[in-house]
Amino acid sequence: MSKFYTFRIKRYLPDQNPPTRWDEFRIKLNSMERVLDGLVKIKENIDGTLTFRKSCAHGVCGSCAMNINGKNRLACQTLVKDLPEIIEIEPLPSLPVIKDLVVDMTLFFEKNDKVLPYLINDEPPPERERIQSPEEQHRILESITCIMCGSCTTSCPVFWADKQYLGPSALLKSYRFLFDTRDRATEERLQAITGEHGVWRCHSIFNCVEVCPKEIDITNHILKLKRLAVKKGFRGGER
Amino acid sequence: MWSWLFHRITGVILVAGLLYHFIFMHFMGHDNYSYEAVAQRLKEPSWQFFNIIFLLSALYHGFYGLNGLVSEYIKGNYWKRFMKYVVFIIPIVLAFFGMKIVIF
Amino acid sequence: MRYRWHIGSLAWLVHRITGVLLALYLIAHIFVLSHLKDPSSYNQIMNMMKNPVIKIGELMLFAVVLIHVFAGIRITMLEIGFSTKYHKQMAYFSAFAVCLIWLIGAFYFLKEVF
Repeated sequence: MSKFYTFRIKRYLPDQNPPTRWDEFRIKLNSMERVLDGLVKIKENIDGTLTFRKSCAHGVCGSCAMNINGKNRLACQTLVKDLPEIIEIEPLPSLPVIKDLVVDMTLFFEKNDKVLPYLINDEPPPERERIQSPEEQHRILESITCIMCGSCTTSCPVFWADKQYLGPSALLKSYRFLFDTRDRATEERLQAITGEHGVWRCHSIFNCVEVCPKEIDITNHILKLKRLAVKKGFRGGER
Repeated sequence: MWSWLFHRITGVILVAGLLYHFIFMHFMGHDNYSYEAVAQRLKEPSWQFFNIIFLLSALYHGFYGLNGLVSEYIKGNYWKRFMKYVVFIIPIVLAFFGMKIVIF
Repeated sequence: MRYRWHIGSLAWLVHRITGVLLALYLIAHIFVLSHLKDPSSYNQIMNMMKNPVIKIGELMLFAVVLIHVFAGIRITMLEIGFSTKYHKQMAYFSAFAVCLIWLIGAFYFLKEVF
């Protein structure tokens, strides 16, 4: 069953005056198609200048995160039949826009680098792999599924106001290594996340949990980080 | 971390304190907050202790919250540092005023 | 920028606004009380408090305190390990509790006047 949908897209064309405008496209989509299919159809048939990121189109790469009807989601994971007839699409909030729906993710990835997103273990490597029990693996399983699409960090009201805040995505990454039994750098990691703009700026707003395309309970992970920092009696320079 | 944890602890103290404060000052009739009754109560050491803890908790809790707002919303280093001083000094001044009434 | 609200972000916003109001009220409260050293000025203020307009203000303040307290209890419960699965139910329950306690409190407040 196919139906007409109106795509209202917020355009940003830096070489035009004014650079920002709203464009409307009316296209026919069947109930199995996703917002991303609509965008591809518009780009192919109506307006070739429409710019957006896409890659895998199966919810794995995290390229096509955008704000659809007031909520950050992956365009490749949102079926049009679940949305009203008018679909409003904006780029991810609070990051600088490069063109149309493409935002500059540099700030987002900088946060990620701050939490040391790699395994630190200076013990001599064993003969085979560093072994983890299924239970130990289970503790970090949920956080490993993060695809770093940026939906969570750009949905966070604290991040909108305070660009120095690490954000849910980086904190989740920090959790992934702090609770990894193979990792040894607990002190350094806690040092990295307990600054003035670190984990204490999370106010349990749950916007990140609402938008996460992998349905990770991010706030729960951040709360566990807070509890760990308290348990370790860690003195971050806060004031 | 300690400042954050202390914010939570003072929060819990305030919930208990407010319960007491509201019941005493508003729900138990006029006799409890006439000048004589209040002055009488302020002379007792246990009430003085309660009031001081209550006062300091409230000031810490409130101004730690404002400190967080300054961290998040104030842009510009100079302005931010100024506001940090403001939210640090006001509670100290108020603590002085508050102590003055508790300990006549 | 428009962004869709849900109960979690709404609870945060309300918590934040009531927090600022209370901090500002705290300044006024301590400052005014610290200048009431003799019975006459104290009683003057207390008589002023009987004014219905101020009574309504007091009731609103009571609501602000309750909202802030219950939002704080919800956040603290989550932080000490209550399951985040139920955070929405907790927010709805808090809103209900605030209304209930406010109505009971308002009854006692107004009993003083009449």
